[in-house]
Amino acid sequence: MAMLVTLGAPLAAQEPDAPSAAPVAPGGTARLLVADRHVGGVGFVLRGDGPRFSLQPLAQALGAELRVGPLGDSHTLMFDERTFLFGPDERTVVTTAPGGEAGDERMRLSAPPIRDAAGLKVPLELLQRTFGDELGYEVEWNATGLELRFSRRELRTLEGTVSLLHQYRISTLEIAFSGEPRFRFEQMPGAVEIRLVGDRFDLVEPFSRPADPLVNDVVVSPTGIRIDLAPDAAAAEPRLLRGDVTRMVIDVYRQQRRGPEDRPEVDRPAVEALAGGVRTIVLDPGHGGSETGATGPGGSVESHLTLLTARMLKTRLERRMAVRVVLTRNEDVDLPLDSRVAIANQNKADLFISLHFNSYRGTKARGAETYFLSREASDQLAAELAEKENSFPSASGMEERADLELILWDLAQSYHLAESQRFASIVQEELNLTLGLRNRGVRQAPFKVLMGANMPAVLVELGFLSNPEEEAKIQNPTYLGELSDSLVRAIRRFKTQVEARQADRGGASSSTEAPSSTEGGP
Amino acid sequence: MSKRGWVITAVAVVIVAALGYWLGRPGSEDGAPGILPPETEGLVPVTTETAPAELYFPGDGSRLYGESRELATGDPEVRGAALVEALLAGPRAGTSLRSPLPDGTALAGVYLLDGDVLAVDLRSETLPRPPSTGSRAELLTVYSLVNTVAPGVDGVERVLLMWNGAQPETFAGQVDVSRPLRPDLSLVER
Repeated sequence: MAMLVTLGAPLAAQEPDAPSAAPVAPGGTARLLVADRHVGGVGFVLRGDGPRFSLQPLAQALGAELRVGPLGDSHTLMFDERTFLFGPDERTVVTTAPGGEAGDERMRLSAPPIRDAAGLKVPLELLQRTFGDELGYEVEWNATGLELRFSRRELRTLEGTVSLLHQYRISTLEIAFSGEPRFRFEQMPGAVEIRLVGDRFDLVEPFSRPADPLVNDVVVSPTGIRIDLAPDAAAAEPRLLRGDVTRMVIDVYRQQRRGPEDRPEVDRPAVEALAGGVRTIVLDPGHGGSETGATGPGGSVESHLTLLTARMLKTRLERRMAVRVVLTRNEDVDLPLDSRVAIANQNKADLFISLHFNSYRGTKARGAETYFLSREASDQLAAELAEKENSFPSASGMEERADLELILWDLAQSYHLAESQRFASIVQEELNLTLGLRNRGVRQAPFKVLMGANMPAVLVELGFLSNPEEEAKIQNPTYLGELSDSLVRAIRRFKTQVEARQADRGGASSSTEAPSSTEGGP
Repeated sequence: MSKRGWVITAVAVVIVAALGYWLGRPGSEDGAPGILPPETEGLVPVTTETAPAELYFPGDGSRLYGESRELATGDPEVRGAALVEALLAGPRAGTSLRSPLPDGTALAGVYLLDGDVLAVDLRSETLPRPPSTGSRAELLTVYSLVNTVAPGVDGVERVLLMWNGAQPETFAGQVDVSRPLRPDLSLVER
């Protein structure tokens, strides 16, 4: 099947607005071949880190749905099984499993998409990971002939065996493959599945499932392996052990019960926060009542917008995740800063998010910022507490106990600070990626509302009301919905990370999330 | 005057002075603790001694930008007052930098506390408290003062901010200023 190209006339890349400072690169129109058929042309530019191809004509030619966000930055490529979210100058791609919101995963591109006057242009790698894996194409770029070719991927057959062993309260399923499998790991209620992508599985030895307290069934088929879980079991993501054969190992363990008897004690020490994962989230709509916060030239009022955003976020979180969400205020009232964090502590929150909109003199500043407490402020708080403790004479035993509690409290604060930073980075990444907002970064500050929180706590500035263009967007509920979606994704990622770390430490995960999926394979 | 008369007169002078000082000290309407200031009129005494100083003003890009000056020096309070007055006077003409504080803000006093803490008391006839702004603007205002004063005054490491004689919980609604602050140079454009 030789398909040669006749190239479209090369022309200079049209990238007047491209943020990166790459020199003007050659580009033009290449022939587009799908299953050996010439279906038209596709614009491309050549960059030092590889070619980029116009996304729109590819989506059209290959029958994928492409949605572009209101800012023109976020692009969502939708297939039957998964969606891919990405944007210009961002190497991260968010993938979402069936069901829409559950189970976001990231993949990292070696070169980011770019945007020029003709729209978004994406690297070959992204085409391979999206059209290639989802629709079963091999994607090849012929740089000499200027031809982009999508050929039907030939199915490989991998031979292998399956075994299941239960020991030390963990059931381990091992699948040995004759080659490295291309697969997706999908989680669904009561089961997980290894779905082969472009490969078929041939079981060469019969698998006889032993009685297992955590695994109800293992269903092996040419397209994959499904593990039906016992009601209180959960599966960790698969690990690949490469050797003469490639072994895939999946551990199944018992989930922590979530009944009322397992709720944390009222006097739960701060160090135990997050021990059960992320279950309670307190959202703090900034300002309120007479404290209106910033106002925009178009008449928007920060305290009203933060409340609206918090309500949208609460609804989304409760609908999509197994979490309890508490608002510090649900109406337009004054609420002291101390009370806000006290509400979070009283509710034994696992996460505290204070929502704000920004303002700055002039009209140029734009973008989102995420803050967590500065180390100095945290240290001062600890020093003050220590001073207070030391000012009360007590019996020797009591003193030792007070010292121990102080040390534990201090340790917990250090832990929360590290977790706050981790969460702040995720939030900022999501906001930047999804909405194409300028990266104003993660910062530390001595914000009063973050002080004294016994859990990871961040303050998010979702945009500048002082910028008329940004204010107009913020006043649009659809845009606020996108901001809320970004925060949902950030919270889910953080929750997943926390619970995965607990699982790694040998603890049980309390996750009861709906399906998620992880891409694997080469 | 007899010796007894001198003693009585001296005691009376001390009592009157103490009473006057007590009545004249600042304090907040809501009972927030006031910090006793020294005499605050003529905050920057005439001095012939000067030393280089770096003032930090908010500018484009929501960051602080340094501007070098040669300002009066002397004891920490004199030097601190010179720095704050220069900040209040604003950046040099022709730059895109801005004064960190709203119009009408003046310096009420500068006092050395606890060895390494300099309290800066700002006052405004029209604003009972600094206006609520975005967190970024508030941070830049606070650290414009702290980053200028702490490194600019020998022996001072922390700055305590006050407004109209009282120590507020937050400067303008978000940044905690109930404790003295150390400089944060991450906000400075390099």
